[in-house]
Amino acid sequence: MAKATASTNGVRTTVLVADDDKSTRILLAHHLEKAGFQVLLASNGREAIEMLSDAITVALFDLNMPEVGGIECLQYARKKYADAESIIITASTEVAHAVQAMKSGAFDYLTKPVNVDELVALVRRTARTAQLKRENRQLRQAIGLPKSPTTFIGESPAIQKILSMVEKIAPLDSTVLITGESGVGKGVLARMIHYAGPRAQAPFVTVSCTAMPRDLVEAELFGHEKGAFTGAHERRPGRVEMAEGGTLFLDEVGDMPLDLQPKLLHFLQDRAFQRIGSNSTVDVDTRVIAATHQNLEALCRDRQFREDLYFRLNVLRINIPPLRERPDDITRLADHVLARIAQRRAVDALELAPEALEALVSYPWPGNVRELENVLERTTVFATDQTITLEELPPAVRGEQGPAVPPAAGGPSGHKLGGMSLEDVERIAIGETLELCNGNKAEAARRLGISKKGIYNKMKHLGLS
Amino acid sequence: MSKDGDLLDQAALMRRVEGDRLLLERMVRAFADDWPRSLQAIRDSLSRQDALGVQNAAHALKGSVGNFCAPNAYGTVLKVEMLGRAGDLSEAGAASQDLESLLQELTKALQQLIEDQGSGVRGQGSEGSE
Repeated sequence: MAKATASTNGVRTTVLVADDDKSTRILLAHHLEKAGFQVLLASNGREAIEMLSDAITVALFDLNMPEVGGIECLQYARKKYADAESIIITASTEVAHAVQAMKSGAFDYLTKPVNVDELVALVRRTARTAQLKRENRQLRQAIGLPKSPTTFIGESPAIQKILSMVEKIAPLDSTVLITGESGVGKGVLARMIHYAGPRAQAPFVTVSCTAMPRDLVEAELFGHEKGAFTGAHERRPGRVEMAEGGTLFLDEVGDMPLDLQPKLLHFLQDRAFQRIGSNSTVDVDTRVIAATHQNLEALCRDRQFREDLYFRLNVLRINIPPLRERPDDITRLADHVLARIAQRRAVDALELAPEALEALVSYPWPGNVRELENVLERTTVFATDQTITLEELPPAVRGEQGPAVPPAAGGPSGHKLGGMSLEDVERIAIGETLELCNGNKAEAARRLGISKKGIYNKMKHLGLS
Repeated sequence: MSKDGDLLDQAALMRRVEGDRLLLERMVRAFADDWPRSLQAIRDSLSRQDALGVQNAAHALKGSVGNFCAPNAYGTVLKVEMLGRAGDLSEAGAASQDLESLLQELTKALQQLIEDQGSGVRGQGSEGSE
C-alpha cells in the first residue's frame, strides 16, 4: 500500500524536509522513509532552496527557519518548480501564519508537534496531487501548448546569423539538428523554428530521450496496443503520433538507446512506424527537429550512435555557441530574464549595479543561459533592494571561486584538454563543478546540464567519491 | 497524568517512535546537543532585553521539545515564548531557569528510557518497559 502511493513507475517519490531542528528532521525522515518515500533533508531555508530540483515532488518547509523562512522557500519552489507541492510546518500558536502559508500557495499545513500518522497521510495526498499536476503539464506540453514565448535573445553576430537561418529553415519540412552545450537554448530555438513555420497551429511535441527510463522510450515514442506488454491496459498513442501535422522535437537525441535507433531511423526515412504490439503501419506527417549537447560524430566513431541515423538527422544543422563565446549577449539576456521574473511576480524589474553586470559579463557561464537564468532567479529572491549588487551574486560569479574568465590556453580548469580521454575531461569537469558548488550535487548537476541521477551515475562510473 | 508523566509521557513517546529504540536514541542525542544552545540564545536575548529574540529562541526550542511528549517542559517553554511575545521580560528570567531544570531532568529521563528500552530488547521485548 505504502509503496503504491510513494512511487511512480517504480521510482520512489522524493520528499524534501526542511527544518532547523535536527530531532524533528530525524523523526519526520524516519516515518516518511518507512512509508516508502525517498527523503532529502535540509537544515535551513538556504539549503532547502539549494536542494530543490525537478526530482522533488513534495517539500515540507518549517515556517520559522532563521534567515530564509518557510514562506520564502515555498514561494521560490512555486516559481521555480511549479510541479512540486509544498506543505508548511507551523507551531500550533501560529494560525495566522498558517493562513498566510495557504494564501502563498501551500498545499496544506501541519502543526507542531507533528502527528506522524497525519504527516504520512498528508504527504501521500499531496504527492498524488503533485503527480497529477506533473502529468497534466506533460500532456499539455505533448499536445503542443507553448509553455513560454519563443524568443531567442542575442545581438552577437553568431546569434544574428542563427536567427537569419531560422527564417530560411522555418518554412521547410527538412529535419533540423541543433547542437550546442547544455543550457544554450536548443529547446527554445526548436520551438522558435516550429512557431515561425507553416506547422505553427499544429502540436509541438517534445520527447526528452534523457528524461525517460530506457524501457519507456519506445512506448513513449511510438505508443502501444492494449495488452502489448504487462501493464498496457489500453491502447496509447505515442508522441510521434501526437505530433501529427506539427513538429516532433527529439531532445538529447545522443542519449537514444542504441537498440531503438533502427526504429527511429525507419521512422525518419518513411515517416511511418508501428505501435508496440501492432503489425500495421501508421503514417504520420510530422517535421523532426533533434538536439544534442553531445558530439554525435564522436559517438558514431565509438559505435554508440548509428552513422545512418546521424546522416538522417544532420540535414540542416544549427550550432548554438556557448555563452562565454558571446559575452556581448549577456547584458540583453540578463535584462530579458529580469523582466520576465518581474512579470511573473507582478513587481518592477530589478536592475543590475554596474559592477554586478560586469561580473556577469566576465563569468564564463559553464551552464550557459540556463545557469544565468538560475543565478538571476535565485539572486532576485534574496535581493534586498531594487538594484542587485555585486555582493548579492554567488561567489563563483563574483570570481571568488575559480577564475572568472577561462585562461586562453585551456578551459576554466586551466587544463589543456586536447588529447585527453573524454572520461578524464568528464572527471575534471565534474570534480571542479562539485568544488565550485561546495559539494552540492544537485547544483553541480544543474550547472553541468545533467540530471541529478546522471551525476551520481557518472561519479560512480568515474570513481569520484 | 502522573507526576512522572508530566515530565515525560513515555508511552506516548514510544508510540511516536513506534517502539524504535535506535530512532529514539538518535532524536535524544540531537536534542541533548541542541537544547543548551537554544537556552543560551534565550538567556542572551534576556540580557539584551530583546523580547523578540526571547520569543524566537523559545519558539525554536518549543518545536524541539514538542517531539518528546514532555508536558512540563513544553508548557514552560511556551510560557517563555508568550512572555517574549507580550514584551514582558520580568518573569521570563525565572521561567527560563525553571526551563533549564526541566530540560536537564527531561534529558536524564530520556536517557533512562533508552537504557530501559535496551534492557527490554535483551530481556522482555521492545515495548512496554518503563
